[in-house]
Amino acid sequence: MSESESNRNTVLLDAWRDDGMPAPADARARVRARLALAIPEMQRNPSALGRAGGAPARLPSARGATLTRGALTMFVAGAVTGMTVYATWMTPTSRVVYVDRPAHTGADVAAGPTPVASIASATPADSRIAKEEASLAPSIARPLAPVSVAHKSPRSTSSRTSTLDAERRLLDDARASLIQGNPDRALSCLENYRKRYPQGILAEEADTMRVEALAGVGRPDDARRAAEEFSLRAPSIYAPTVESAISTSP
Amino acid sequence: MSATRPDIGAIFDEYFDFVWNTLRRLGVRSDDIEDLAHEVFLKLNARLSDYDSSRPLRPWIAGFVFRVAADHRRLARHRFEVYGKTVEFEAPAVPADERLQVEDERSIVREALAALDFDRRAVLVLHDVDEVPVPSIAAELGIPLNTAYSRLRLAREELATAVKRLRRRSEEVCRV
Repeated sequence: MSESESNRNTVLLDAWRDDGMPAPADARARVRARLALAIPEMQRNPSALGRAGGAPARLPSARGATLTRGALTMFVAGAVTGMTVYATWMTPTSRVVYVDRPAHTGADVAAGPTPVASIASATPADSRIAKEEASLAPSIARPLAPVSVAHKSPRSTSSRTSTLDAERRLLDDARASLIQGNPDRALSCLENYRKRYPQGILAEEADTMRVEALAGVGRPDDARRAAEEFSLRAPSIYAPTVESAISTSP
Repeated sequence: MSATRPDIGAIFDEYFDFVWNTLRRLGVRSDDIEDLAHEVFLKLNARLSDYDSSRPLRPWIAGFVFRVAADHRRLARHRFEVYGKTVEFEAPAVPADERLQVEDERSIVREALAALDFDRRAVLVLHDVDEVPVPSIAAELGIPLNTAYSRLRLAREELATAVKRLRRRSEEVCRV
């Protein structure tokens, strides 16, 4: 690369740097509202109040307490309203499906199909509902059995999709717990997953999260052991995530 | 290790734009940036007690942004939207003759960057655009320093090649 080209690219990158604009205010407000639900400090901390444009909130000291309470009330009300509007407008029109892999046994099929109508959500509340549905699965599946078994093998597409979605919900619950800084709960979700799907389609992802959760709960030795077992199984796209979890573990 | 836990509200106020723009520059689709920014701050909050206040905050945050974008990219390869279009990272392609001069230059850089390998692109964006020092990038991404410099060098070379190619194409389109 010649010097003139290098200079020209630097000028281009400068132009692109100038292209960095403030994030949309409505997106900032939505993210703040979502964070406030998960992080109590985002509600309590004055710096988290009234700074949507990035300017510090300066409250008069004599009226500070009253204004803080008022602002907090307005913020919570705004957050609830924002979440409601967000939930209404942003209703997902599509759902994410993981591409499954071929190698697994029929053990996971024993959990039975899960009603397709209930598979789109990934919230913890829905996951609890999902678990209840899963416990009812055998009785739900029985009347459907003649239809599905008569035409398709147990590994038919619909069965696999149902199993995959049931697995995904358990893992979504674990992932949400990890992100919210609750590795204990994530670990318990993952144990539940492992018991239910010992040869699960998403076992690789579950094992990855298990390493992260073990590191998170302060069990570095167990995390390292789990990471070693993970790396011995097969090359994985999750290897960097596992390594990162181990390297940040105390 | 920090004795006092940094204030997540202040971090949000100060760095939200940085997180947003870096996710965009790393090629995350516009529709996904908001969710990923949310995830970045959740992860930041979960790790705040690990933050060493003797280190600059910006590279530390940049590390989270990179990992979240990289994880998203890996997952995006393994999924598809049933009723929608396939998930893809953004690579804008506006006809050259419809662009203004400045926007034209920016579009060329965006397209050229979109063609780069993700890991190299991350080092280039963090260093040349966000001005994070290479040693900090290496530390936060967990890669050897030499690897970081190597990625930066290769990214600059690839960028130069891609820009040259896009300029040629743009000029050909203008001539037609």
